[in-house]
Amino acid sequence: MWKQLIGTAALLGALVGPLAPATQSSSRAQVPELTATLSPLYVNPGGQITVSAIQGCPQPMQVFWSLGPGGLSGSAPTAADGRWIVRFSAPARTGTVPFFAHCAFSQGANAAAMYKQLSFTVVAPHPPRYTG
Amino acid sequence: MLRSLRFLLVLPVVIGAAAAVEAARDEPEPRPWVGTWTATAQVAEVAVYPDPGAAEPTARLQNPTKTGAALVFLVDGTDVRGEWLPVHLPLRPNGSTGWVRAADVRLTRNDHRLRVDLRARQLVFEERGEVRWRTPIGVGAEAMPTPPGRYYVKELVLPPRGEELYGPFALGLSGFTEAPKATDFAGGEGVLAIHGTDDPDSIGRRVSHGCIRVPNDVITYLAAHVPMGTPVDVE
Repeated sequence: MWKQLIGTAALLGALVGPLAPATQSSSRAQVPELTATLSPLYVNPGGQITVSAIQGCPQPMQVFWSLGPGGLSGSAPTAADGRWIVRFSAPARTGTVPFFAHCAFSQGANAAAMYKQLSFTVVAPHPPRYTG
Repeated sequence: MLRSLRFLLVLPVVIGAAAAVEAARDEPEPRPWVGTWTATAQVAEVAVYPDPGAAEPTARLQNPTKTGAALVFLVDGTDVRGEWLPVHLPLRPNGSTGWVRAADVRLTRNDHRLRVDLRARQLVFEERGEVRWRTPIGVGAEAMPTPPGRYYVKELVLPPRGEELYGPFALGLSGFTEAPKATDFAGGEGVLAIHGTDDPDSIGRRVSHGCIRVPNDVITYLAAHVPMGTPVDVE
């Protein structure tokens, strides 16, 4: 009989169990969030964008950056003080583009620090006359 | 006694499961969200064909376009597995479609849609199939109505200084005015757009030459959040 009782409890546990993780707080370690600056904020397709660290990486390492899923990406070594500058050409497609960056020792390694998301806007260089 | 206890413990679970099954039977099958695809030209000239594999193209579109923006298309439908893609075209007449080679474009998914409710004079912003917000708009005047149809956002423009008519931004659309009086408005080609305005009182009224006027804070939001290729359904 005790076995039956334990079995019933186990059944209930299995049913309720999957709900438990949703109520637990995340124990993931927080990485520092740093700031960088991007210019210009408005650019024509193919125009040059420069992004530089205001707060450098915690130590000399690499900065990995991307323009979102499927977008341009790259990496650059930081200076001895952790600061960095990256330059790239704006995409051809107009619209607002996000810029993400993080510090790490190598591609795929855990981020030592994340940068606050930045963005820039690609605009058509020859505005037409719309119907108003 | 233990048997009774076990029964009491299991009973709510059984009842709950039965109720869930019954509820699922009553509710309509939830439709999975299906986004749209934007095709961005990767070649200097995109040939448009009337059918997949047709011998001669019906149009050749330059990339970048005259405005300097990359040439984009809204894919017609959701099947993008083949070597050919059916696309909406930024050409007259409104509603034009054609086929392009998949190798000539790069595809990106899009979860946004804009809906222009002409009767209510509202713009509805949707994301992943859900209405996020709606806002009053100005639409085409009686003599120059905003034409209904499916269009898409093809370019983002920062109007030149001194041209406050369009507000801080304009989103060029793939459609055109169909009113003879507006086809060459201000020396242009009658291209429709969603843009801001220097006349806030025109919002909520039928005042434009076919364009869709929104408050300046709204066009600023759209400029930051609406990807090229976003469908714009004018109803």
